[in-house]
Amino acid sequence: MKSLRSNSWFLLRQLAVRDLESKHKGTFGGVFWLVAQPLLMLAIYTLVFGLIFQPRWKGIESIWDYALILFLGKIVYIYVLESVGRAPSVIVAHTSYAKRTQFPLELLPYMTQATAVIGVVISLAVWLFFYVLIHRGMPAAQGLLIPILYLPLCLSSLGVSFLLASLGTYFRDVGQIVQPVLFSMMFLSPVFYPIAQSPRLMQPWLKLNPMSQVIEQSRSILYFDTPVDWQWWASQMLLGGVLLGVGWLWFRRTKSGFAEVL
Amino acid sequence: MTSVIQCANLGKAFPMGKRQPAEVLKHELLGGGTKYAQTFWALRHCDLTVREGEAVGIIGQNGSGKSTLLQMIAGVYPPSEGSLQVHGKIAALLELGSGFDPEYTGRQNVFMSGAVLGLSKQEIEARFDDIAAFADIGDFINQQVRTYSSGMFVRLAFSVAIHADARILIVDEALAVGDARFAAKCMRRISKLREDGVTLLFVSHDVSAVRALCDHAMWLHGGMTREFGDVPDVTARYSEYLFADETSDGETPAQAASGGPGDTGSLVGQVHPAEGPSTEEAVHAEKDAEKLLRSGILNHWGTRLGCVTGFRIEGAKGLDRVFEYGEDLHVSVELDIPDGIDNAGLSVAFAIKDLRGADLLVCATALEDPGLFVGQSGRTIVKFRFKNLLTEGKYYFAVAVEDRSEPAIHYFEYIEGVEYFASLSSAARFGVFNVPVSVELGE
Repeated sequence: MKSLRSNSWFLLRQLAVRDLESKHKGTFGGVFWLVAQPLLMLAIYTLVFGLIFQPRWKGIESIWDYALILFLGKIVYIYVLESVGRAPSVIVAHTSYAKRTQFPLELLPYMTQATAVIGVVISLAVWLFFYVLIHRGMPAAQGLLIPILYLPLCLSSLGVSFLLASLGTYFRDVGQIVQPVLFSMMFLSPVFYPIAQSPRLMQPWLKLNPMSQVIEQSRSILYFDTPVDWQWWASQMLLGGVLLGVGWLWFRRTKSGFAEVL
Repeated sequence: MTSVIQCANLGKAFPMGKRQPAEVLKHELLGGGTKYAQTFWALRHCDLTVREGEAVGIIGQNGSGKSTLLQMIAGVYPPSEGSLQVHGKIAALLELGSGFDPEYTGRQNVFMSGAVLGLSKQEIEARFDDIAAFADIGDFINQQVRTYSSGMFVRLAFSVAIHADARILIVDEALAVGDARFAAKCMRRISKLREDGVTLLFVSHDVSAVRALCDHAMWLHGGMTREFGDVPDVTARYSEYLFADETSDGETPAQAASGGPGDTGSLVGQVHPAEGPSTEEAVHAEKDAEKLLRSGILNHWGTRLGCVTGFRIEGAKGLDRVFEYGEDLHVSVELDIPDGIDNAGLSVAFAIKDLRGADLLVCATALEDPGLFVGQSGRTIVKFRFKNLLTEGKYYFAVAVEDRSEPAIHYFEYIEGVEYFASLSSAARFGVFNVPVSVELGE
């Protein structure tokens, strides 16, 4: 059986569109929620962290900027939640494809990946809108590197998604474990603080987290005008490549048993 | 012609009970032989080569491994042993519309399932009108699928599947769902696809559909290939087997009655009052055909029970209780002419009835050859010969020994359901009983 077919892109697009739609299917707001949700989240961040907590972030004065800085980290976390967090249930949710038809199951982790990326794009657009509103000008041109900064994380999350999609099909408990693990990952990545403020001993470990590179570096180029640490990026690319390779091989090897356990 | 499907020693084992997911995972990861505590071989030692453009019918009872074979060919399950090679795009109509999402419209689902079947966007757009026209569900195509009737659902799903340009079409009982008109339309379409060189794998309980569509037939029994060959031969023997299975439950008198002359005298003794309806009303009531079949002798009465000592039916082709349309049949009734009766009025009659009890053919010696038994006494065999002109279906015999010397017929013995048989036809014949008709062109 061929794993890649000539119409895979079309099929993936159909799946991703349907996946996006299904999130808001039956709601009155419909696709409006795709944009409204990041907006609401940004509002809550501004309120809670800007007005109530008022923590200090070196070099940041305005509460609006503080909210936007936190949001840059939160976008990354939500991306991981939407891709890796959904992976354990993605095959189970498409049982009929696994059991009955000749269907390239590899596409399902790609599908969650695609919808998560679309979420990132929308959130970044919302972020940009408010940045422009506050600063009355575009962020630094370096900001165009953002997609490249995301690349290593995309590889890692796709690789882990493949692994978890398979494991979650065999063991439904995986889905239950993944949620708290991801939640702890949020605190073990610089979503709410810069790595420089964490204990020195922890810093190398925090830097290993694939989310950290994107969060730290996107803030660096957008707010602090520091150059991209390409060495960090490259090491994360390597990690991402390894995770993707392992995850993909694992998935390929184990997918023939899905029909039996579903 | 190249072979598009090649199975060699193909087998699929399922564990008895459900395997633990961890075991399945270990097996997938580390490979190795199938080592379950207890396995059930749904299919084993299956060899099948299907060449391009061929149509193979797969027949067999429930649980014979038909679906397992198709699912392996369609790529749902990996084989447990043996090798399987498939060349060409498959459209498997295994469970129609299983990929349909009820929340979406028919149109959206056509695009989605078309994509699953391997079509590109342009291809689906190009043939969308054909798909909608074939499904013939009108404006419902733009409605959510959950508003569909089950018939509309199947029609749309089938329509998408046959427009997917597959070189191999796998059809599994799918046609049984739609109404008769749509089923006929599907059959025509499948025949058309066959003319275009599409390879067909067709699974059906309906022997006549297999005969109409396929060149070869494979009879699976208990996970093994029982027979493979030309459609008429295999389907005939399969029908014969099915028929024997239906009527021989060990306790049905029909089998005992068919045992031949050696069973003389046993006939009457075999009639258990508890079995089968004992009153005529019960017999004439329209009853479930299968129930009727199982009950063997339906009705047995008369003033001289036991005078019919044997009943036999043989076809020219020698199959047991399965006869082809046009086949010569011999019915022999063995009787012990009762002492002290008027032989001039004696008549032996038989009738062929359909499963609802309607007489389709009645033949009595008193009409064909009056006075046949004059001078006869004791054990006598009467032979009837005729051509089987019954269309496909199941039928049964009634036999009677009667006295026709008076206007009111007196029955010495009447046995309804003395023997059962099936008639097969390779052509699609309608009606029930076809008397010979001559055809010529007039002015």
